[in-house]
Amino acid sequence: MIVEIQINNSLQPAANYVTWAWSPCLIRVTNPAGIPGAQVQVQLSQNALAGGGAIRFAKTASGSGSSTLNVTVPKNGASVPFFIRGITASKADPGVQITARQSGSTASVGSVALMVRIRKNVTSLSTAERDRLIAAFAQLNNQGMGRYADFAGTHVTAAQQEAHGRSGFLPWHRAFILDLERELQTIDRSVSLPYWRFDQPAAALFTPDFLGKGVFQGPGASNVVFSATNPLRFWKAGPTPGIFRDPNFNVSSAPPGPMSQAAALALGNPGALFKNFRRMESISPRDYHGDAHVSFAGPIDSIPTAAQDPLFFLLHCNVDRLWARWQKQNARLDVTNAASFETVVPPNRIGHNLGDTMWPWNGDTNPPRPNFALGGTMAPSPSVSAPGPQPRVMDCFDYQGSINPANNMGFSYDDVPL
Amino acid sequence: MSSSITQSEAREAQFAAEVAELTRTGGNDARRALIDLCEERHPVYENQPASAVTRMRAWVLESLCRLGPLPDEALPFVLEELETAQDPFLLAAAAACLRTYPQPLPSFCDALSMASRNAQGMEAPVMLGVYGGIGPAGGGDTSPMRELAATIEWLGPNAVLPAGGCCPELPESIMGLFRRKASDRPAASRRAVDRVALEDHRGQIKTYRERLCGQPSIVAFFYTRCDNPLKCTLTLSKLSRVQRILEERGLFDQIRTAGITYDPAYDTPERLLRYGRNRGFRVDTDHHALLRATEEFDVLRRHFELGVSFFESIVSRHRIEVFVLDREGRVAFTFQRLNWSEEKVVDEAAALLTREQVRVIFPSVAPVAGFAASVVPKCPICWATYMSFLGVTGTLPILGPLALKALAAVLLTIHLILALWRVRATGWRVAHTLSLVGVVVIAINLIKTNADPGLAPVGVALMLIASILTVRRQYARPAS
Amino acid sequence: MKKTKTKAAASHSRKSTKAARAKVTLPDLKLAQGADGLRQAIKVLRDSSETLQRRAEALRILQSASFGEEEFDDVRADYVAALRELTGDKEIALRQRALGLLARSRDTYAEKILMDGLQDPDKAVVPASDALHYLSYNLHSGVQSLARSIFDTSKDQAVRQQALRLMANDPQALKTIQKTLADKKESVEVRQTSAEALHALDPKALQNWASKVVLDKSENEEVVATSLTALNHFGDEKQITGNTALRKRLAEMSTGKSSAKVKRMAKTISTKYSL
Repeated sequence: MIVEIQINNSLQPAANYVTWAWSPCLIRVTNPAGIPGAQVQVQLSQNALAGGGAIRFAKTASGSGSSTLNVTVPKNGASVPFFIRGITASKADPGVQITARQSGSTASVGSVALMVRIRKNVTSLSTAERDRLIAAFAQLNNQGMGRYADFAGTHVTAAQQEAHGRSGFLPWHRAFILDLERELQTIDRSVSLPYWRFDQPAAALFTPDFLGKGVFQGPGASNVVFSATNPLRFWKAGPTPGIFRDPNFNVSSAPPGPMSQAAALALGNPGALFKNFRRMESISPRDYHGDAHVSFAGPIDSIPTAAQDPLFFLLHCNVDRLWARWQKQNARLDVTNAASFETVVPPNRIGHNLGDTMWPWNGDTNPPRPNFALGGTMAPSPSVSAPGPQPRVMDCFDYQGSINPANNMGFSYDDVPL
Repeated sequence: MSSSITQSEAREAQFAAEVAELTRTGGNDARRALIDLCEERHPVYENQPASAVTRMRAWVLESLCRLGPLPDEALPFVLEELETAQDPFLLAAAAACLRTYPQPLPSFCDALSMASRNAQGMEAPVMLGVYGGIGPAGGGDTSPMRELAATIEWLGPNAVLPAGGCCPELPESIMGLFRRKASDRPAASRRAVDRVALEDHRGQIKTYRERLCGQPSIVAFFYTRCDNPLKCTLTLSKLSRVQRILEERGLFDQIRTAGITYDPAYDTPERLLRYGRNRGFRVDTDHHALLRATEEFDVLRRHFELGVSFFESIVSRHRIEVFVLDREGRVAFTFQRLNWSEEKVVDEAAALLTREQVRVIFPSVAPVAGFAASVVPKCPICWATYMSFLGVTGTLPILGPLALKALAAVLLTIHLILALWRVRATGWRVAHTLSLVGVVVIAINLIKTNADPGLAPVGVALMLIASILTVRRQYARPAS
Repeated sequence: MKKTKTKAAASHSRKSTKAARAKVTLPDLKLAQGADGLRQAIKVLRDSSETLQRRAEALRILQSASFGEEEFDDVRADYVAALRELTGDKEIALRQRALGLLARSRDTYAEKILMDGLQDPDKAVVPASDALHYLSYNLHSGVQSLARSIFDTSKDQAVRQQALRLMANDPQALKTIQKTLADKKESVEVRQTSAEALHALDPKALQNWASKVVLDKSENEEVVATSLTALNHFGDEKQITGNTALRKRLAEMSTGKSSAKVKRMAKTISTKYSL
């Protein structure tokens, strides 16, 4: 007897990635030899592979799940659904193997390997994870000729109104970093975007082997230094090669500007209202997001040039994580809850209302949108269908499918549970 | 230190002084000179970096408006700056300049609306009346937003559109300033451009003639290092839209599109491919390509009369320009500056196609009819002239009088002069060769002393064939 | 005794690290909310009698506000005016920050100051390497011709590196970049920057150079490591697998007396391309 197991209802190896969210799976008999009756009892279990990680099984997408699962599978080849979710992140791919055994037997009748792929704190990455990340970034950049140029060319002055200063700031950036992450994953599927927790020290990030070492209170403006083996030394996203990023603080400590996470999470109060929470984008004298950007002198400190620096995406991954935490803590994942978003009357500028599609993925170049739209539609995922090729603001809230599994955008944060 | 920069700075300082003098002098000549300086192709901008060109152009606009009401001729330049300027001084100057137009037109609202969007994020102190637009220590007494606000106020009720309404188009008298039908080009540049090697986004090299002759084409110029999102990026995106319109109309295989780079040394095929693909340009057919002139860009520049200036190898300034070429690769129509309409460009190219298809359907009839119309005498005197000419050539060998020979020689000489004058306009053709041979044959016959007509009829026949070919070619050219 | 010393040393080390990790306290400027507060910050920034820390904090607040604070548009022009004033400030840190911010938005006032300073050192307000870097945000500033001549005449490594980065956009500079890359008398850092510039201008040329460097046993190890990085991440598979000498050399490097990083890189390439 042989069974086939599909992760995310797909046979593509590219779909074998799960997060904390419940992922739909299928099992069916492909070779019924040796099955006496019309159906067979199969036990699904897991073991950690080199990449590590752990999952839970369940028959429905609810509850906490269990470490094994027994399913009854018809002999006729009809598929039986079940669900899995990650509970411990993998460090490499593959991380976990699911093995199917006929009940009462120790022999495997089918298996599949997968990875529990989670967005992590950048300081917790292993050397191998770090190296895979920077290799993927370098490929995506490809001396300015790769897809990265579209991201750098999108987050510019002409697009300021699309993504900043209004309600759509958080959903837009959630979609933006997801798009980049998916592009990185077409290069290396094991990669996920880590976040730079900028209210804590992250010295390991600003080293020659990672995102480059700048000089605090040095003699003058200087490009960051990379080790000879770091492919980011060939980075080009602006007019000239290299990355310029002079820290305005000693990188062995946290930058002094950004407010603490606790203070940022409390911004929505009283009432945990999105319209107040979203001011973490930029509010004088201390905020969360803007202050992180200006912790350095360099392209990262100005909107038109910020995305030229790969640090931008780790910074915004943390901003998005904060939003995800706020959503989880305050039950603000449901976009139909008025407190989850800021709907204004008369409607906000286009791109900042729930039903609006977002530029550039919608390809809309008619005024008041910018007259260009680089990169096409949102990169697809082999694992999930959300948020769709032309995401709307409202499609970027229930990112783990907690309200509706179809909303699952295919990412999770290590410290934000389902 | 770099002599290029030193020289350009010296020339810029001289320019500023000369323009200030023009403003002081005033009058129609000064105004004319300033309007001429608005053209991107003006030699004064060559070998000036983009920053300098921006300052110079802003100074020209400012000065123009100090001379009195803004003339229609200058309006396209002002409106284009409002729509595309990325510099605070230039934008502020354009906004102030528009207020000197004799009356506020409702159709200005589009440009002002775009300018208002552009100005956000560009707001900075500006000092008008000072070259460079910046006061002491970088200060200023106005700003782009302030000038735009003043201009919008000047527009008055015209600034408010009815609900759901669109900004009306500019009057045709002004829109016509953005478009140009081509007249004949000198033969020399036409032939030179045929040989220009053009490498496409796949690295394939073919000549201009091979790429852009045989069918009408729509050509736009751009470069990948253009940092004005309202110019090249937009131009190529619109060219992609042109391709879609061609597809919708079933003309995708009958009309070519091409984007040619101003920056051939830097814009390698890979860069061109990436840039075009990202803007929706279809790169999957031979008919439609992104091109660079690997060697003779100057020939292209002259052929198209491009509105571009350079500082060393970098583009300093260029205008938005789209060309419709006929099947001989000659410019038939030019769209310049703002808001060129993709539909209108396709309309012009399609009209060329229709005219040429009609000619192709009746190839034998048309030239003969044309020739007949041209040679059939239309008055008794002409009849007599023609008969006399035929008589001279035909009867010379019989009569052989010296006077008749002299007359024939004069007529043949006149013919030769007219033919050579025609060569200057159109380039040497097969018809000219035949005509010349015919003249030589007849001339030899004239010299003969015997009565034998000899090869004279052959000479006449050759000249007749040359006439038919010329008329046929004349008929095949687009109407100008 | 030894254990006590070690324990004390460890304790001291922990305290130092903790001190280093402790966040710097920013000065409190006691600003109002909204546009009024931003105007107050501009006033502090402009006031040369204020301390550098307070003025830097004012700049931090303003720059952070530019990221999305709705009231920022009301004060943007004044902010730019203040930055322009700072280009002549007595504090070099503020001059550098201001010029960097202005240059990134292609402010022509700042560009003129920087260009003047490069042409006449008496007029320079920041070091030449800074000026070249700031001007690099706008290729249309005309700095490229300066970059080539500065590269040829300067002996300052940082200046030459910045000049090289600018030359990465200039096809006319290709030969100079290649020559610098091949010149073993040049410093490693300058040669590495040349490699980066060449990769940006002509990636195939860089790959050819990288292959040659790997075969050169007399070459500096850092330069070799840079070449291996280029081959590993941007190499052409056919070219690498078809180069017998390169394959052999990579195999030698994987097992020989090379440094750990060179060995690791050589092994990675060999595995990646199944050599």
